[in-house]
Amino acid sequence: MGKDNQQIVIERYFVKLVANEMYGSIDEIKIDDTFHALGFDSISAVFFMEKIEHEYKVTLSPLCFWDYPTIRLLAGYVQSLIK
Amino acid sequence: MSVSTVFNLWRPLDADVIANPYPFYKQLQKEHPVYHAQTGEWIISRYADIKNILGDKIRFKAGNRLQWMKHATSYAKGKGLDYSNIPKTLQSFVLFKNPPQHTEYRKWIHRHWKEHPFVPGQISGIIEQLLNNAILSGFDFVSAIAKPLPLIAISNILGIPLKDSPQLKSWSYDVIKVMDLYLKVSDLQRINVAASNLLQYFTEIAKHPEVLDSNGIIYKLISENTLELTDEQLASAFIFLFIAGQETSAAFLSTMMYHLGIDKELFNDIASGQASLNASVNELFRFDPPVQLLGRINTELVEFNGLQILPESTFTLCIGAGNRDPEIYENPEKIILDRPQETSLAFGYGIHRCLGESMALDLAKSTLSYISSHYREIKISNNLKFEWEKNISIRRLKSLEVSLKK
Ligand code: HEM
Repeated sequence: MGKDNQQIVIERYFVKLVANEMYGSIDEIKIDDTFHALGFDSISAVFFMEKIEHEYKVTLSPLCFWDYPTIRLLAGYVQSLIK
Repeated sequence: MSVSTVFNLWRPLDADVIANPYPFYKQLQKEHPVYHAQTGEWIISRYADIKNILGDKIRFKAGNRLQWMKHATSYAKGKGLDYSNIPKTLQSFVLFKNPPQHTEYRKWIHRHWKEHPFVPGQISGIIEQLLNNAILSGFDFVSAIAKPLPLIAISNILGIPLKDSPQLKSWSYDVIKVMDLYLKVSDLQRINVAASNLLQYFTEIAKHPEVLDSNGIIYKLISENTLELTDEQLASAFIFLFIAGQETSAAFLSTMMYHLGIDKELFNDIASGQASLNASVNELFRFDPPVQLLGRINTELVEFNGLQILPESTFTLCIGAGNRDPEIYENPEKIILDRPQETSLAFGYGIHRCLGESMALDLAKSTLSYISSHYREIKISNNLKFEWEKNISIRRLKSLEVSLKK
């Protein structure tokens, strides 16, 4: 799978997680919205990050959520960690 | 809104910052002394601002970590996870109380605390014994001295049977992690297990104080339960007294030893009595304080550095930065043992100022005095590789391999 495709797959997974978390519809979630704008706070962030670590078998510093504050940016970062 | 990755100045978990946070603090303090971090917190790094916040009990309240844990627990519950032992364990921590309750808690504890005859000679005895057990030609100072010394001293003063202390110790080191700002789900799990164990142990004690030393502080606090706390609330209050001084003191003793080991001149100056023990220890607390970050929440709109900050914002105060503020300390990056001291922020300031300060200072002075009078040289054999715990609230070496020479 090409790099771009892989990133898109990760983004889709994040969108699903976000929709689940916020009880929203997938269509309303923009991958360039900040997590903050999507309704996340410092607590939901912790559990969101755990799901990602589990899904992709990566270790994420708790600050990644804030350093890569959109679905697109975080997906790009997670992709860079996957060998 | 579209966002691109920007370089965030607030990066306390980066490896270089964990190894040495001071250049990072210096940059923050110089460029953005009041910094709105990507996490939403306000990062404060100037001495005067930190002191103003800690001294302002009207506009700033303590207890942000308890509040966070309560929210996290109820959120987790919605996901079928049970962390309820965490808020139960934290419920009566004096540190998280605000006036008028704080005043009552503090009075209740302080009355017995200040009456306790704490003899520095006792500490020297414990140090001697611990050092006799260590192999002087190479041992881990952290596990051989820095951790057990405060554990024994605090167990003694509280009146907890020493035989119970080893198991209590590991739970303490897990529970104190609630002070860390950025936790993961795995941390919450570990904290919850340790919290549950400590809560059970201290609740039993509250029910059966007869197992305690009746000269100890806990026995007296139970006998004089003026706040009419339940057994579980008593347990929580005692847990804080038990854990507050452990990792903090262990961190300081290790850091002190590290500085003495890497700076021969410093050790010689202290050994030759160039400055008083008091002044030396205070300067080391300023220079490299074990508690690095404190938190507060503002109750109303406040203004700092021309910035308006909305009520209920989280403030993270960088003690390690304030203690090296060039506005307050000349040549702040240098250890100057007989420096005319503006009291450092190492033990906080205001109504929550550390209750165990004199005990912590006694532990440090006794260790320093014992080592400088019994040994000529401290050799550190970590091969200059020093690993610090990833906990950004308490700065502590994981281990410190030392040899002591007579
Ligand atoms: C090197 C050792 C220590 C350091 C650096 C230290 C540091 C601090 C700091 C900075 C605070 C203020 C926290 C805040 O305002 O948010 C504090 C509070 C406190 N410390 Fe310590 N501490 C140490 C040892 C101890 C010891 C040995 C004890 C007792 C066994 C102790 C008991 C307390 C208590 C009870 C409070 C809360 C006081 C209140 O909220 O009114 N500490 N400490």
